[in-house]
Amino acid sequence: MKRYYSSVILVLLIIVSIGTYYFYRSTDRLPEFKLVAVKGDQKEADGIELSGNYGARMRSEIVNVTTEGSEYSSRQSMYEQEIKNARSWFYQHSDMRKLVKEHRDFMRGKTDPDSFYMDKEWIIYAAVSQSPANIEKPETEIRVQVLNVKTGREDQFATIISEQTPYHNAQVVDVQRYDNELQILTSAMSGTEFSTKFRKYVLDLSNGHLIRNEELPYKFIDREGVRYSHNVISHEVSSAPGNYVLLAVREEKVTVDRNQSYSSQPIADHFFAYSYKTGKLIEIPESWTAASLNSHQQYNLNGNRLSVLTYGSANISVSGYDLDTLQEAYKRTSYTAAQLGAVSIGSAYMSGNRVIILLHQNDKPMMAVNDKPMIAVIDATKGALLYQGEVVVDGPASEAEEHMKHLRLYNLTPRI
Amino acid sequence: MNRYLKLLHMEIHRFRYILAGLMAITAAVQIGVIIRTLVREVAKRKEDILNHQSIDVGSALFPSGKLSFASTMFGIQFWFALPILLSIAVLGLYIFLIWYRDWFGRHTFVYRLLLLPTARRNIYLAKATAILAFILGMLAFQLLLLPVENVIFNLIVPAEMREASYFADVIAANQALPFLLPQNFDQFVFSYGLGFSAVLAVFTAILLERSYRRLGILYAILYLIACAAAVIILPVSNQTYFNPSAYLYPEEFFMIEMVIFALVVASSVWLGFRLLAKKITV
Repeated sequence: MKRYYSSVILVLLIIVSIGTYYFYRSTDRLPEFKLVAVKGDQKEADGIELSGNYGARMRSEIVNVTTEGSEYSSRQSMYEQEIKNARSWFYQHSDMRKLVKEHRDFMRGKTDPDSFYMDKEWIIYAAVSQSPANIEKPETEIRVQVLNVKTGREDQFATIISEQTPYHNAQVVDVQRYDNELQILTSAMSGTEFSTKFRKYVLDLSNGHLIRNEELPYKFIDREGVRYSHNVISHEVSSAPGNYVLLAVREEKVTVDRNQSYSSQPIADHFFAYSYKTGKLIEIPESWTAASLNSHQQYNLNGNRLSVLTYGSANISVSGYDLDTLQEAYKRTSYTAAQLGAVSIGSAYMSGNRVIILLHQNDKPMMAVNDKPMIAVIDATKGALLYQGEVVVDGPASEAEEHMKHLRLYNLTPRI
Repeated sequence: MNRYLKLLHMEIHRFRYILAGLMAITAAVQIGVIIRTLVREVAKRKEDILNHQSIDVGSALFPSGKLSFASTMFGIQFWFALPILLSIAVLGLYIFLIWYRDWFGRHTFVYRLLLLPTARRNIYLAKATAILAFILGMLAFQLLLLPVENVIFNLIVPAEMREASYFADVIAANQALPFLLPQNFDQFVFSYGLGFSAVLAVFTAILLERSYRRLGILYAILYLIACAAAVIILPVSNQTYFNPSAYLYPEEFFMIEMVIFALVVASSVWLGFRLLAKKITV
């Protein structure tokens, strides 16, 4: 046995040294945090996730905090980081998660949430492409895959559509179904006018034949010194049936300096609601979106109701409008940061009727030490404050202050 | 089993001086550069104190400005990594030498080795295990060396000038160490498993060359290309987990890649055993 000492020592060195190292790494001694209720029902915050970093180490640690506790990205295994969290941007959409879970084979290779339509009977996916090489005879190809949920039958068809003018960079922005009509709204760059065009292709769902090919009456064409950028806001759940989409157009003044570098300054915002039923583009009254240029503004489309969430550092407001009647759907609600027990508002988003707000105890939370982030949940339709919560250290009180000093939470997202 | 362990010990024993030499060089260079850096830094700081100059100028990574073991590691990137790179190069070369030294040594040792009254697969397994033991042994030595270097740090730097470091920060401070010692154990198993499967493929390529000589070189190259092609076929066909429109889901991609790796390892080991048993004659 004595003659084998060198080999035994080498093996023991490997086991003890590497074993001790990975055991030590598994107990990282990072503090735990938790979102707890100060006022209201804790369940209101169950779907909320705060993220940021904990900076007491040489390299700050990315941390997510929920009502259940904290999760550091460094604690995730390689499989979780690289494989489970791959395409996390896609799985952020609750409807996409449900579709992948229930119709895994149908969902293969399909990754654009705006290209889906789903109701109790049908799941539809549409993709669009052009033939840019053939300028003489421009064509658009629409490929549709259909799953009948009740029968489990899958169908697919491709429809080639001859166009008057060439388009490129086409993409599907929304898909809707009305009886046997499949309505596919697309945006594309016009090859002749160098501006964005919105087209709606109406296909027969049973055979894929083209019924109508319409260009939306939308006339914002880039001109010298002025540029238009576009954003399409579809239903809050992108695959859900709906009668409207919102088109947001930002008008920007473009200047070119001596070094030929471009800079732009927003001049105005224009908003339109497109109705699938009537085929009309309705201009949204300016009073609904007046503050869009000077503060953060988010739009939430739910059925025929458009909610407009506006916030700055000091205050937040939410208004609701009925797109069928162009009247107020619910009264405007407004809160200041002070009314919510904080110094500044960091960010906010809408989920159904709820407005979820991230609050800070400092004007500059990214720079501040000891920020103590807070959460408030408001019912937009009633204006009531439903929940107030704060992030606390889930551990010994003696260490709490020191750990809170190094915590910065600045992202607010729905929990996956 | 007993024969395999004896052969493994023999391989370790034959490499002991080189392994000890690599460990000695690693310890000497790393400890030397730490002592030299710290002695200079401490002397400079003491001089600054005498001249009433501010010394605690922090940086983004080390805001306090005090000396820490992590900040010292951060400041000696090249010299710290140099012996590690040397060890990697020597071990890489030894993957070939562990076979060829038996044929081209002073006494053709392979004759005696192949005539041993034991299954020839034990020779293959012993050499493969020995390479793994050398790699992990160097890694374990590096891990053992870090606390020793920390003690040296504490001996040189006065208490009022230093602050404690987390071990994780010490590893992260040097660019070479996070590659050698991944943060998570599954990443460690994956990375070293990947490397070890490459070693097994190279072993089989060497045995192909030893079996068929000149033609064997062509077979060896073709075999290595086939192994590499099997591993990269999915990423090349754009079916990676990060391609959003890939037909495969990320977990399916991962599972298929794992199966491919398992097949590469199994085919390498099977072919290696077969060549050693049937084709190599003395």
